[in-house]
Amino acid sequence: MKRTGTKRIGVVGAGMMASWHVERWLDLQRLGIAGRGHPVQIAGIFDKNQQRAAELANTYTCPAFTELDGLLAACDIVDVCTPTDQHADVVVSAARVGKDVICEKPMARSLQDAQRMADVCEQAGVRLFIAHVVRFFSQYEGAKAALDAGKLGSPGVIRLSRGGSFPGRWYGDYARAGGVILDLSIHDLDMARWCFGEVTQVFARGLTFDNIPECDHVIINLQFESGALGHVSGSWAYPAGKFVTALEVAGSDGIYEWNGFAPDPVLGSFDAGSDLTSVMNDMASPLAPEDDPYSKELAHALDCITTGAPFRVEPADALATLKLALAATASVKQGTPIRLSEFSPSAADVLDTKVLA
Amino acid sequence: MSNLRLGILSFAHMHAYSYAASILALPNCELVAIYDDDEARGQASAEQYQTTYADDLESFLANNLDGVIICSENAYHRKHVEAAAGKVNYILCEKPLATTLEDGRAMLEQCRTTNTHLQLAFPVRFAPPVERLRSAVQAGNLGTLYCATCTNHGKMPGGWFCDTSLAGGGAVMDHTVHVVDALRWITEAEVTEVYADIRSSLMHPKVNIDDAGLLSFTMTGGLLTRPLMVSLDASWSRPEAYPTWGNVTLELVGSNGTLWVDAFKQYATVHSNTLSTPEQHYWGSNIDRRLIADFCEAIRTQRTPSITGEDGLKALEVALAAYESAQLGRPQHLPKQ
Repeated sequence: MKRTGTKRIGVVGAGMMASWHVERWLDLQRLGIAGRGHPVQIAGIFDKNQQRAAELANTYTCPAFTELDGLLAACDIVDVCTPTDQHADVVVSAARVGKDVICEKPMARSLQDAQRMADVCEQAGVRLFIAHVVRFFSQYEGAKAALDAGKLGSPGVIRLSRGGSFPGRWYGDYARAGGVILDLSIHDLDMARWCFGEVTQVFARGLTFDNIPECDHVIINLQFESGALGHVSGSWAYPAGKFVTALEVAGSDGIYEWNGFAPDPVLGSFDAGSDLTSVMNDMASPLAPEDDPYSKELAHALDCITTGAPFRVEPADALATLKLALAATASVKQGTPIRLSEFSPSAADVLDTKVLA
Repeated sequence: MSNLRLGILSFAHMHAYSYAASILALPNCELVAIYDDDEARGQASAEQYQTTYADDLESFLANNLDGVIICSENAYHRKHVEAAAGKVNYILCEKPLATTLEDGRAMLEQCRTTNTHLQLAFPVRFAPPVERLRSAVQAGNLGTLYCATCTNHGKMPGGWFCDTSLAGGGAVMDHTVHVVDALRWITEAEVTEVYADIRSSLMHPKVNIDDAGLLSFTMTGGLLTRPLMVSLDASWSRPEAYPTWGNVTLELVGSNGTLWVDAFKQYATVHSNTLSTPEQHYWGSNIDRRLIADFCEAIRTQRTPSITGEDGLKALEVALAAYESAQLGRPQHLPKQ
């Protein structure tokens, strides 16, 4: 039976993404974002690392759980913010006890895991939302809207790029995170599919299997079913502190362009020796809380779970994006273009570590 | 110092107008004559630049020229270079060198046997932001180079640019050579493997030639210590309403840092009640004028041109390999065996 009052959110994982989500849930609770959704509260936090869970719980004044089952029993919606390779087990556990699930991208480390998640959730009659947050960034929503409104004409060439410095921790572990394509470029692959539809062929080059410590970088060519073309570049090779994204959608009648090099609305300049650079990074392009993409994403998921409306990203969609990301990674490894219709990676393929084929 | 005597052979390519204006603006050189297969166009250009229109190619080449600039349709570069070689010591040929490797090789051979200097018009080398990128790379500032992500976007130019028999190809033929040449110049490396996705009439339904092209290639040798992966978007993906002609951008990622170059980003924006869309006023350096000045300096000092026929051939090879890759659906290796 669905609760109709306050939704209790159980957060699994206590890393960076979990803290971002908890902050946004608290914003939703405090602000009731734009009249959407229902009252929420944080039921608690679970992490395999008890100390980390306790620290995050302490920061946000909510309970820490030492067992996943305990958290599952105490919440209505499970918010999965664990490393990628743990998504499947957590999602399946949540679904089996009838909880709706919000799960961070990428959906899973392997297609088999992702399929299992989708199947179990469907059988259990629970909702599963994969948090492809880029679809909630206003400048990206704007591109999709311009395309849908016919301002750009028919699809031509879409270009997306996203890059930062090497993230370290588990992100850098290929067996767990899957390299820069699966962890980072998947945002743009998802956006590309959202705008231009299904991809039929992918060709990619990258450093993923080149054994360069703390470094990955990829360039990806896409062919769409419609005949349109796409280019996605992703980097974990930029200098520390640099993060840049860019988007361009060109069609037969127009073009939508945005890039992170556009001048920010708040520009600062400080005396040498001042430590205000990090402050500026937060100030440079500020948004009202209700326009924060993570808040919008979580409010959307909450709304859809409450009303039964379809998610902007249904599991089948996230599965297709995951398959594309895995195919792109396989293309890097093989050096050949890969047709999506002929691509079916086994779980062993994707977990195979950095050995060249 | 006496004036250099220059002639322009054909105004089919619109760069001819910019080159003519450059000759007029530069000291110690003179636009002595113009010839054009299209007589009306040639007459109009001669009037515009206050010079003589030659009635035929023969008399044009009999003007005791120090240098000739060839801006005919791509497919006619060969016949015009072969006509001029041996009669004029320095030839500046618009890019691409030719539409086939056979033509390109024949042109180089003809110039070799007649001791004629052949320069290719790759003005991107003269964009100061690109020069800055090159000096940073050559000083080793970026460390080991990993990847170059490049664009050379434009509007669909129409006219003979969309006629395969005259242009040799559409967007990919038009734009690939600029960026390939710039990268060869920056890294001193050669392209060794080319993959491309190419589409015809994708954004211009009736154009019947490729208007979208995404190349993915590798370069090796020169200053590179490992293969450089490169992507290049050569598409005519700027709509007619776009405020400028297009762009040349290069992102170069290395082990020590990344450089982002937008070669023509030096502009102001004009909004006017007399314009239907905003206009960009480019205030950066005039790369065509710098190219012509370089060509004149080569003539004056009797040196080898800074951009050779061989450079033109190498860039053409990549564009042709891109078409082959798209046709066959797999990467192509260079040089051809």
